[in-house]
Amino acid sequence: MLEDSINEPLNTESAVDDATIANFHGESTENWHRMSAWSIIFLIWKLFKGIFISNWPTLVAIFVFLQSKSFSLPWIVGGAGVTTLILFTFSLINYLRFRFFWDEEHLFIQSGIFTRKLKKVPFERIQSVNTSQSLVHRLLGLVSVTVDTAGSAAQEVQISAVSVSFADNLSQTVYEFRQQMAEKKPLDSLLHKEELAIEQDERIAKVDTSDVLIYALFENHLKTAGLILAFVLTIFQQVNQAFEDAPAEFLEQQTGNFVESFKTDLVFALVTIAVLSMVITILFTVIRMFLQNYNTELYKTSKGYRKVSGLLTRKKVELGVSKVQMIAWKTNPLKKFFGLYGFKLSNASTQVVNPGNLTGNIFFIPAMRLSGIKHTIARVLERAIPEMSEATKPVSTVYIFRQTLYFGVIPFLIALGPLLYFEHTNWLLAPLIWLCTVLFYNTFYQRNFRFHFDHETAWVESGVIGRDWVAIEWFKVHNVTLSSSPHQRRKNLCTLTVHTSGDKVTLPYIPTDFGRKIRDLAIWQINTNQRPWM
Amino acid sequence: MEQIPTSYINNVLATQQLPELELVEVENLEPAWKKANAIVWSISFAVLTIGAVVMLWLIRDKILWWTWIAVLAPISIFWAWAVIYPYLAYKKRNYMLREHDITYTTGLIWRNEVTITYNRIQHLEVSQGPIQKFFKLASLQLFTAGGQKSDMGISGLKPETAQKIKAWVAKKAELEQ
Repeated sequence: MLEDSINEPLNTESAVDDATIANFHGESTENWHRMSAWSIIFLIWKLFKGIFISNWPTLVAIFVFLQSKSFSLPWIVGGAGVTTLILFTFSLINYLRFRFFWDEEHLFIQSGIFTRKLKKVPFERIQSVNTSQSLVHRLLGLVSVTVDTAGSAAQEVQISAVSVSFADNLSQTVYEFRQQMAEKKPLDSLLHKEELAIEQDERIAKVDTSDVLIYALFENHLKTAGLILAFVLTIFQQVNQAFEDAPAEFLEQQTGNFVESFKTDLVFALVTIAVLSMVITILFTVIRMFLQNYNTELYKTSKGYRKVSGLLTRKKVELGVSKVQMIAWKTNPLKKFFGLYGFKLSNASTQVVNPGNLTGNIFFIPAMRLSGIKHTIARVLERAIPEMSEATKPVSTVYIFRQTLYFGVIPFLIALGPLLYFEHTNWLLAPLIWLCTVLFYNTFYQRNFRFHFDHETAWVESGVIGRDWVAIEWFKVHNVTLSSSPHQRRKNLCTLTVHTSGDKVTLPYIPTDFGRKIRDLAIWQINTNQRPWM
Repeated sequence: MEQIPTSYINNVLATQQLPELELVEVENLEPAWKKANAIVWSISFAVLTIGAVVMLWLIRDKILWWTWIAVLAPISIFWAWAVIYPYLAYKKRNYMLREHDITYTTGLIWRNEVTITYNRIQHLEVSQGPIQKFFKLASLQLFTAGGQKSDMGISGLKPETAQKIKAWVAKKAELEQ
C-alpha cells in the first residue's frame, strides 16, 4: 500500500513532489513515519468537530425533521452507521496518506486526501515544537505535536498522535540543530553561553489552583458578559433562521408571563438580566480558566522557557529566550491584593499571525507572582524592572479632550437627537452616564500612562483602574510608524506605534520631537545590535 | 507635560552618526500615479453605482423618490473625493531610502510615516496590475516577520525603479542579517 501510493501519483503535482523527495533522500522510503494507528480516533473526532461546528444548525434541523417523520430504530441505527463509516473511511485515508520524516535540516510532511501535498519545513524556521495531550492521548500514551513556524495557519504542521518518545525525539533533533547553528555563528554562541550552561530544567513558577480560581474570579467580567451576550444572540439568530422563527415563537409563548412582568417593571427586568449574565459569565470564566490553567508550571530550560498547563488536556509549549518579542504583565486592585499578575511572553508564533485561532500557542500564565516575573525579566532583558512611578508621562492632556470628543461627546449628541424627538426623556441618563464614563476613563488613562526607556529597552505602564505593563527591546522592533491628524499637527503632537513580530506598543499624543527621537533610537538599535532577534 | 530627558539619547545618536530623517531628501512617486489611482477608484465606484442603480430600479415601486438621492448622493461625493484625492495627496506621498532603512510617508489629512530597517525585511514583492501596466507603473511590497499583510506597499513606481529598489534592499537585507 505504501509503495503503491508512491508509485502511482494522483496528479502531476504529486509526481513532482515524489521526485523532490527522492532527490532529498534517495531510495530510503522506509524512513517515512506514520502516526500511531490510534490517531484515526483523533482524526475522526477532528473531522466530526469540523463538520459539526460549521454546519450545526443544519444538522440539528435535519435531526428534528427526521424525528417528526418518526423513523423506526433500524433506520436511525443504519443512518448513524453509514455516517460513522464515511467518517471512518475519510479518516483512514487521511491517516494512510499522512507521512513524515526528517533529515538533518528539514522536516517533510506529506498529506492530503484528494491531492497530495508535500511540506518541507526547514528547522531554522521552526519557532517551537509544542505538544498537547488530551485525556484519551494520556490513556494511550500518545501526544499531539504542533510545529510552530510563525507563519500562517496553513503553514503550521500538526501531527495528531505519536508516541511521547517520538515527540521528544523530534524536539531533541530540532534543538540539536539549533545548538549546531549557534556554534557556527560565533556571536550567537557567545550570547547564549550562560543559557547553554544550564543543564537541568528549573521550575521558576507554579500556579496554585486557589490562585487560578481567585484570578479568574477577579477578571474583567463586564467584557466577557458582553461577548457571551453577543455570542448567544448570534447562535439564537442562526437557530431561528434554520427553523424559520419557530424558536422565537416558542420562547415568546413560554416566557409570555415573564416578559409581561418585565414590561411593567423595567428596573426589575434590567437587574434580572444583569445578574443572570454576570453569574453565567463568572461561572464560564472560572471553569474555562481552571480547565486551561490547572497546575500551570513554568520551567527555565537551557534554551528558554517551557510552560505546561491544563487539566483535561495537558499542553506543553516551548519558547527560546531570543524569541521573546515582548513581555507584558497586568493586574487590577483585587488581584494585586492577592499578589496575582497575568503574565505574557509574546513570541512570533502562528497564534499572533492568526489571532482567531484560540487553540494555538499563547505563552500566557495567569496568577503569576511578581517574583517569577522579575526573575524572567532579569534573564530575558538582563535588567530589573525600573521604578515606573518616576518615569515620564509622555501623553499630552490633549488626548483626554480629543478622545472624549470622539467617543463621548459625538455619540452623546447622536443619541440626544432621537431621544428628544421621540420624547424618551427618562432614557436621557444613559448617554449622560456614557459621556461621564468616557471622560473619566480617558482622564485617568492619560494621568496613569508612564514611559521609561534606555538605550536597549522601553517600558510602558498604563491603565485606568488596573495596570498593564509592557517591556520591549528596541532591536526586536520591525516597523516604526509615526502618524498624526491635522489637530495633532497643530498641537505639535503625534502617535508613535512600534511593531515587533509579536505585538505592538502605541504611545498616543506624544510631542512630535520626542516621537522622532524615539524612532531614531529604535532604528539605531535595530541596526547596531547584533543579537539574534528570532 | 513633564520634561523628557532628551540630552541622553541625543549624545548617543550623535556618536553613532545616525542620519536624521528630516534632513535627507525624499523622492516622490511617478506623476502617472495620480491618474492611475483615480481610475482604479473610479472603476470600483462605477461598479458600486451600477449595482446601486440596479437595486433601486428593482424596488422602484416600493421606494420614495428621495431614496434615490439618499443612496446616490453619498456615492457621488465619495467618488468625487476619490478622484480629487490623488491629485491633492500626491506631493504629500513620498519615500526615502537611507543606508539602513526605508521610510514611506502617506496621507493628506492623517499623515503616516512608516520606517522599516532592511535587516528586518523577510520578503519583497514587485507586482503590477492591468491599470498599472497601462501607465507603466509597479508596486513594491515589503514584508517583515509575523505579519501576513505587507508592512509597506509603495504603489506608484516605475517598474525599473521598483526592481532596482527591490534588488538593493534584498542585498542590504542579506548583508545585514
